Amino acid sequence: MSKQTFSIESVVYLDGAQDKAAEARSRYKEFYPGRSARRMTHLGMMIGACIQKLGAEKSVPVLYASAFGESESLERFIDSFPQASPALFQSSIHPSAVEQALIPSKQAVDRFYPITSERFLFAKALENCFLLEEEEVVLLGGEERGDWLVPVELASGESFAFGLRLRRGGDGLGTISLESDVSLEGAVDTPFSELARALEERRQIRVPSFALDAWIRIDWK
Amino acid sequence: MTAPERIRIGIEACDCSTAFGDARQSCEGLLQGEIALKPMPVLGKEGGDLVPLAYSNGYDETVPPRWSGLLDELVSKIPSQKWGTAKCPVFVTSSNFDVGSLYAYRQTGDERFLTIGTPAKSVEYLKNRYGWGENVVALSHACVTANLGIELASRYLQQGIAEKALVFSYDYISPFVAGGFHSLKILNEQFPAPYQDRETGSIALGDGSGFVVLSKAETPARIESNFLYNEMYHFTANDPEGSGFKALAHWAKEVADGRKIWVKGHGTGTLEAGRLEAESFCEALPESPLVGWKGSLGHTLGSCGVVELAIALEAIRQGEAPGTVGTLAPTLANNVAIDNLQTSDFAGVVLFSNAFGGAHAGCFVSYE
Repeated sequence: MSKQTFSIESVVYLDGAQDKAAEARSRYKEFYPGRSARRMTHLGMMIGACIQKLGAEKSVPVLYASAFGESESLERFIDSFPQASPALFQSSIHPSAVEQALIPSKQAVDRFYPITSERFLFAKALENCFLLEEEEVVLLGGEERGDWLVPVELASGESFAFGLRLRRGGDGLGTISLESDVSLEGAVDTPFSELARALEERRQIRVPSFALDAWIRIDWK
Repeated sequence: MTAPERIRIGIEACDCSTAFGDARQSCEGLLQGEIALKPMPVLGKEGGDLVPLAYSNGYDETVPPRWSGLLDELVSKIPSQKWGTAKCPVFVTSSNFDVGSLYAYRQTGDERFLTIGTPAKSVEYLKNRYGWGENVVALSHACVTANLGIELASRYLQQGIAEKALVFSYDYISPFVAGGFHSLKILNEQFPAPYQDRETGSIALGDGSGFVVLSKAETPARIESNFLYNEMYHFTANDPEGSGFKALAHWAKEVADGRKIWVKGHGTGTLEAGRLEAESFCEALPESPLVGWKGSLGHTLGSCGVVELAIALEAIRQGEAPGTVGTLAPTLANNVAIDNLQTSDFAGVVLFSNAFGGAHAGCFVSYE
């Protein structure tokens, strides 16, 4: 099962630039009518926009990758002490961005895998898509720009999100395939944000999978 | 509803660390009906309301983090293997990782607290400390994380991608997390009484870490099926119709397939979730006693799935499983077992976790 090729059915990339959540709300007005985004984090808004474009169904697994999660919320929650904010506590948990996106429509999903890593995060996200056996997978990822955690490299310095809807054996925008029998020795990590931009620019991507002992390639039509 | 996925995953080794000690000591404490929780200031040395916490070695943040020595001891019990290589993946599971250090940094300005901090940095710290390779997957899905790690590790094994898989889990309480649950008002001065029919509900928090080594080997206890479901109904509450609990109980009944089983529930002590959980299991599996251990250990958050699995396996080895410690009659449903159980009366156990977002996860363990 893991040796199959995925077709990229849809791809979304959002550049959140240097905005904070309050500034970002106007940017995503088309996705969030009225005041529906008033309690959402910046990453939550971006991931929600990705899901609106990609779709979500109960039986389609969702895999979400983020190294830092919602850094702005995390910082604000810490700064809310000693009167800790319950709303910010909820959005400081790692998978909060996806939950913010799915809860308003009460969209249940059977299987949801929020993963994190400092190294090879994009590769780990892709390799785990291969390990899920369903015909389709929704892969989401992104970061939210922090403030006081940025200079000490414990938060992302930029906000972005991306999403891929993948189907086994389809004929979409591109393919994700495995390249075996080539050593992974000396594999160099590429920044998560750079790989996300490569999706937007339809650049070829080649990342190492230490679980599958293979390189994962993305090629575009 | 689709039929449950049937698997056969061997459990080669499993242990944990709680406020009582390892799995054997934790099981013994629970069998004796001891309560590990103590009233502690919610913000540690910063004070605040007294709330029930069960800690292993102090509460306030330290450098290195206070969990590092406890994890060293735990890791020394993991069977030797080239962990983190292609055939031996590691699944690190936690809800909070080292986030308490970020809180401590903001309170003190001491930059030594910034050496780990985030989940991703925590995983790098563990890889370097224990010599694990690059094949490490870190999962963070609040309080179902350990079960999620077991589910994903089972997939690696089922597909032949891995020969052995290590699921490693830890969550140590800090003012960050205690303050968060206190702000939600469910962590308060009241000690929890899981599944007890009382006027108000409440939870407690506890330190916890654990590991389980899984493979395709035939072992006396094995995982026959895993369950995942995310309601996405509300951030911190469950669907009032109990859709997640009902789906879980239905899955457990299907997998049990007429065998007599016991249920180790999530049972944090909140009323609404406790009622939905107890009633769902009572309806689907009325002969299966339901127990919960967080009234003594506290809720060990993202690690609870592995911590309570280790205690359940120890209980099976000893032949006696702890009842619902800290709870008195009347209970929320007739299936709640306050007294200890004889595990030889049963062929299996369902272990279940529940989290923010209406996330539900469980595994079915059968045993000889």
